[in-house]
Amino acid sequence: MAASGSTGKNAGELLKTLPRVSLANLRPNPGSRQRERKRGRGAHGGNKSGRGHKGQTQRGNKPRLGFEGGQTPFYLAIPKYGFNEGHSNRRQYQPLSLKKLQYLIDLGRVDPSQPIDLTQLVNARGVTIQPLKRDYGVQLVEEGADLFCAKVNIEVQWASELVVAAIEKNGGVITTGFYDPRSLEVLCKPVPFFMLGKPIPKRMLPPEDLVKHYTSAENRGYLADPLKVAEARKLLAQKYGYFLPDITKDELYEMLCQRKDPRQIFFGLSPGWVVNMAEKKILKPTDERLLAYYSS
Amino acid sequence: MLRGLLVSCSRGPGVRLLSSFSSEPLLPPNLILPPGLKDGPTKIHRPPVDLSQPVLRTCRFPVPSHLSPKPVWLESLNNEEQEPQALVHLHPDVFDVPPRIDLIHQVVNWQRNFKRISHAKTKTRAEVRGGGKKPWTQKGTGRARQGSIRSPLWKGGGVAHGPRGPTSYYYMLPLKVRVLGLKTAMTVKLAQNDLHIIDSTDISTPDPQYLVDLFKQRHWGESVLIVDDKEGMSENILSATANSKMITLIPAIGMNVYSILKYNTVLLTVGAVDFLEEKLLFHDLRYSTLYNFKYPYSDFP
Amino acid sequence: MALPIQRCWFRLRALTLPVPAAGYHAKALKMNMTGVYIPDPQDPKTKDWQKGPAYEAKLYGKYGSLSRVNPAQLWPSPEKLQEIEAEEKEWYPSLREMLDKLEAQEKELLQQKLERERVIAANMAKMPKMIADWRRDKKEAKIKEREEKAKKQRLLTLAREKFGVNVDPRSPKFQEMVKEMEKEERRKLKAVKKMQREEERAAIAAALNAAAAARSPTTPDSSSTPE
Repeated sequence: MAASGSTGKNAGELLKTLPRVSLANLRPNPGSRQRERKRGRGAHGGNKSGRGHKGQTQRGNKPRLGFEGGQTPFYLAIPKYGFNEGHSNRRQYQPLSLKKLQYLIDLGRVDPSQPIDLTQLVNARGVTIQPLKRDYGVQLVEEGADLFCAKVNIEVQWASELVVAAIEKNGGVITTGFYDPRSLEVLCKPVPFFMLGKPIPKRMLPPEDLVKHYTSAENRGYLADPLKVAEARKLLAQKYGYFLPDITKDELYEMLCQRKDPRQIFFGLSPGWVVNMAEKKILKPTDERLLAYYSS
Repeated sequence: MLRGLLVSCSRGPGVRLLSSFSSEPLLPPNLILPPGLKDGPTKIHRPPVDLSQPVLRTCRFPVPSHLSPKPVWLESLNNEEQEPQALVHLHPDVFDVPPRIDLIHQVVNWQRNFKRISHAKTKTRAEVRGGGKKPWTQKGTGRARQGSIRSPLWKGGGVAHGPRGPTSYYYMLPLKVRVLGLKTAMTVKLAQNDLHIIDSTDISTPDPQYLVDLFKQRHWGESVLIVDDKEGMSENILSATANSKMITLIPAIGMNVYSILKYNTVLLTVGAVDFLEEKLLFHDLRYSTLYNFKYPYSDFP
Repeated sequence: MALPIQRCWFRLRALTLPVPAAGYHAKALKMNMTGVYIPDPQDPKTKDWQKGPAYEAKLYGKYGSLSRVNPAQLWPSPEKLQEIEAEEKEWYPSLREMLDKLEAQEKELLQQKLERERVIAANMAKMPKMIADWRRDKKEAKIKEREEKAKKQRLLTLAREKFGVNVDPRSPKFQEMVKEMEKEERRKLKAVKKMQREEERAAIAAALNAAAAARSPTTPDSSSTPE
């Protein structure tokens, strides 16, 4: 590598002439190991040893950080105000721009011919969700709304009006669904959950402050009335001035209509089932009480 | 087609130029070689492989279009006198990567240091037995002022800045760096004609001398590493190499850069080549990890 | 210090052996990459974390039916299920309940708002009258103040005429004079009142006499009384 610049020869060819590379003749790249300047040794580490000249700095007697010589320091003079109060308990939604979504679809990392779920997005490494850090899912962000041109059936946790318009303009379907933290963990990393041998839990309903959001048709909530959602689609098309394509005439109509039950985490799997990865089997409970509990 | 052997004289690394063909490249002028470097024992430089010979093993994984697979002779431990007749294709992304010697250095250093726990521990002046009482008064005696008999100034006193307790030198290089280190090591061995592919490790006799003679005849160096892919190797090879200082037998899972460089020659069976290519090429095209590799992953695109 | 001696000893030992043994073979792997490892729960050496139902579920997840775990234990037992259901009932209200609660909250807010608006409207209706009252009060106060000032001025002029000099209103002379004047005024008022009362009495007497005179021609002389 080092000698291939001017001669244009292959480094592999060069190795043939050189001695055998062994444990005795390995060395790091020149310039990669900078010698450390040890304090108190030599001309440039010695003399005052990086402490300066006289005073508190040299003698190691400086007061604490923030001390202003007795004047009420800045960090005490300014009154407290709860800007960040409870910040670690606030719900967070990882952003995913429409531009990135288009990029993932174009590269084939996400398949638009199947319903797009948070699991699909995580598998495609489009987003990284950390349920333990108060992430409650993914939100679609408006960046790239002009470029977006894919027809998808997508389910996210939060989407603004423009995003909804952009997706529906291209003939797609968007839903916002709520996942409580435990269900989110299961949804994002299904394989480690299946390896625990536990039955799939049922998804819980949203808390009171989110019920209004997920039951409103403007947000395309999963608990909203489908008729109202259809009306809202028309209104939105009128508002943003685009022609709303009729998805009933679409060839992928059945796929676009697929929605999850409010208690369901995965498409095709019900709560209460145990998935075994070792033998590729699914176990379903037969006890009535268990069935009643899991289907309530 | 002549397939004669070329034996080069071992008169030092620089002198090799005079006896070489004009097609061999000159050493660059700014190359620094340490003095007194002893070249290895005579090596056989085979002429380039004859591409008309049958290819017994092609690459399992697709080769990028701008690269071509490396053809290498397929040798055998059983036939002593015969010339190798078949070819094996090696994947260029494993056996023909840019030879990053500094990467090899990094990986070897890591291998040596990450397991190291140095148990060196000295006693400080607080831990050395005694030394609580002031030896003599502060003033009055004409001697220097001393506070304890175990201060670092004293003979038998504690050590001021000595090693303290078991220290760990653990660190992990990124997985992809270690993978590239393995690829680079194998590339370097292949480029210097120290890597040979054998069909299998089944030999006819359990006699250790047979192997020693064979390697000597083929000028395969003072130490040989044989890498097999099977867990259960044949009795003959096991007994032949049992007490050998020169030959070592390892499974393919045990491949590491240190061992590759330690031994002069490395022999890989075709099965080992398959295993290594599969494991090492996986990391080129994989996504970042979501969870531990011990849990199953479905195939990535 | 002990290590070099140990190394020498091993080398010497190797020299004395009939066959030069160096042990360069790769040691057998300690980890079992194939096969199933199930720790025995009865064995006292197994750790606590390898014993519970959670670990058995993990074994099942890892090995499947090879782990010899009964799949029925993966689901909660009836008692556990009861507990779970009770917990969910307490902490997770149904959608209907939540919607009802939300509606009630919104209704209450609306009520409060309406109430406040009603109060505001009522107060606004009172506003014109209150404004007029206040203006009137202000005007009266102004007039009164003006009168007081004028009165004071008059008193001052009177005092000046009486004493011949500008008298300070705070001096005792002035105050005495003011008191005398007030007394005189009160006497006058009383006299006026007395006169009014006498007039009224006279008027009443006259009225009575007139009434008696009117009745006297009709009745005999015995009924008339001397006045």
